[in-house]
Amino acid sequence: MDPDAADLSTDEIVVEIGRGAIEAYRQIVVRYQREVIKIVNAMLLDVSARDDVVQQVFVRAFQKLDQYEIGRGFGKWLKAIARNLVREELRKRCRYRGRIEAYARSVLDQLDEGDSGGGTVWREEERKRSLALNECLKTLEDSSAQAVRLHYLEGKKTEEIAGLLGRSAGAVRTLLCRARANLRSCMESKGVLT
Amino acid sequence: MIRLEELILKEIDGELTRREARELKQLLQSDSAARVLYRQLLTLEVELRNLDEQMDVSDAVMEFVRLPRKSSSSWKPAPAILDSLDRFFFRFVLPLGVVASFLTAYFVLQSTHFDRTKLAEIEGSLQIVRNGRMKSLSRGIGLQPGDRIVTLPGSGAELRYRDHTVVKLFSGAQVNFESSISFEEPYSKSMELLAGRIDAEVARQPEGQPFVIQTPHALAIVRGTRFSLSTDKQQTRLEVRQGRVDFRSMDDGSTSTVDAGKVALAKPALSPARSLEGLIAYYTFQTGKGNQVLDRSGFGDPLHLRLETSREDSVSWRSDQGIRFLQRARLQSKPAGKIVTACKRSKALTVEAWIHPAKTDQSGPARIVTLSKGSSVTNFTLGQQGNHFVVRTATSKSSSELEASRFLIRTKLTHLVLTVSPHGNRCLWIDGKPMAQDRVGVDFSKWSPNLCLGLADDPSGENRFWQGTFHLVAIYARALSEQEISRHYSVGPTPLSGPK
Repeated sequence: MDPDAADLSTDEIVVEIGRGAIEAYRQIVVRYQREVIKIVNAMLLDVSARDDVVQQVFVRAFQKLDQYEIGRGFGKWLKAIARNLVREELRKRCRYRGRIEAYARSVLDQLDEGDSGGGTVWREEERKRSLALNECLKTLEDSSAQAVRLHYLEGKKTEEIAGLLGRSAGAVRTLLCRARANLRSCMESKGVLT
Repeated sequence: MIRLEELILKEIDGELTRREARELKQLLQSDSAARVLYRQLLTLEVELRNLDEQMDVSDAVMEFVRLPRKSSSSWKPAPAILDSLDRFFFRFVLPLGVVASFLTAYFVLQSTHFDRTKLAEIEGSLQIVRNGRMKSLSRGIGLQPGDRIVTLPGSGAELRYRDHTVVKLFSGAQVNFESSISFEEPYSKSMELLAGRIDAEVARQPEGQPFVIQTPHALAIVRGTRFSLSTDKQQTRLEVRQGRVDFRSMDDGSTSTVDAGKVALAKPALSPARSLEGLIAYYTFQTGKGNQVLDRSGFGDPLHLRLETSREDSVSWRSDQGIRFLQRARLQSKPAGKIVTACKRSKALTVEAWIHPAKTDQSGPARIVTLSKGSSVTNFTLGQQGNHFVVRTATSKSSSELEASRFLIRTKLTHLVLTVSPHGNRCLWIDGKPMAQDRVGVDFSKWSPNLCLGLADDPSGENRFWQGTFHLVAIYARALSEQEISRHYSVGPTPLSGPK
């Protein structure tokens, strides 16, 4: 009986894939996609490209699976692929060049720190930020909270939200901007945004 | 809201004008507090994006992973360094000479052989599956009939025909080049768009020989025009930019002419009363002719069925939807990986068929719907043994048979449903009622991934053929409920008819 991939370690799954059990790769995708999504979210703010890039990361990792050394840490290897892919994507987009210089470098530094042992501090900060955001979301007015939920949780575009809320697209943009400004103030007051 | 905040948020949303971008850049360069605010808002944006816990790319990734790879069952070590002249000659010089000769002959032939459609432009990563093997792509490569082109996420390609017809493939598009399609009239070019979007500028085609593009839901019949065609699980969308395109529904065969500036949609042939959740293969036999039955489920890689027969009169298409098997023949798919994968994950199954047995007494068991290879390898079989319906499924021992001994088969329209629940309960439903059940414990881990789906005979060709008519076959990766089965029975094999 073939082992269930869910019961295997990532390195064991890689070995099974090498023996031809390619369906087991799905387990790797399911295990690591949240982390890859976070990296892509942190480095690439063009939402329209995000899904493509996340898929590309896993496709490229599968294509290069024979280059992965068992025991070296699959997550670290995969995140390196993710960062390289996002950098390639950013290089294609001239208008993000400024962000590469001003901000993305600092984010990359923090991610590197997260992987190389300073990770515990980084993950604790991430956890506090996430908790603070959830608390701050509760302080928003109903219409703002609804706009935020439709945009970020349901992936709706401004025009779609406008139709659902019975407002103009311009009004929805203003609503989202105000909501984010309020969330920033709230999170700053909780000391999680420095 | 302050101006700086407004500019930063506009930049996050991709709505900055050039003038505003310059203004923002100046503010960030001159003011450290502005940079702090910038960082805070970007950090917030990232946190908000990470709220979306539902994103799941595993299905999309596995579609590409399943494409045939070059043989790499075990990774080979780096070759040893050569240290002898003899080995150098025989390993390098001689093979290079042979390869050079073949390349010379190939290019000479190319210049004199019939034209090939070329892959003119490539952006990003593409894969091609040719004769069941994956091949890397490069600009200028000639395509062959049957090639399957897969554009990976973030990639694109342009196909250029000799008559200057150009077809642009967008990110995620999958096409079969010059594959067989369900179009019985003459055509000059064909393509099957399996997923994603293409834009085409089609040169004027010879009279009576259009360029035909097939999707799961429709045929676009093009004589010379510019248009955009996209397809997904829900629908096919045609937008004509210049000229006009005939758009034929795969559902009922009706054709409409779509003029420039207009959009047409074609949706799958599914009754609103039919459960869609978990549907992984779906056949309605509405083509009415030809040797292919399309998988209309819209789930994963389409698992079309091809008619395998040595005699033209072995089957007969019915005008009211259906195909009748008169002599030995079968409908068979390629390896049904998507069914095996889905059911292994869910550990559940439903096989549903609207059939009309031609004889009350058939043996083998005669295979009605089967995922097997002969008697020794069975994932599941729905069959007829004597005048009873029987089921076989893989269990922890080998395979186990369940027979509906209380129901005597008649030569009439019959609704058959096999359900296997995650708890291991098997049930065979006939005309909406449970006629046989057990709790034998179906072992999905024993399912072989390489078996083909067969209708009316075993894919092994072992002569287990079944005579009768198929009106509808559906496979789900879950066990339908009693209410759903009852509803499907009352709706019948088509949306507007009831049981006969």
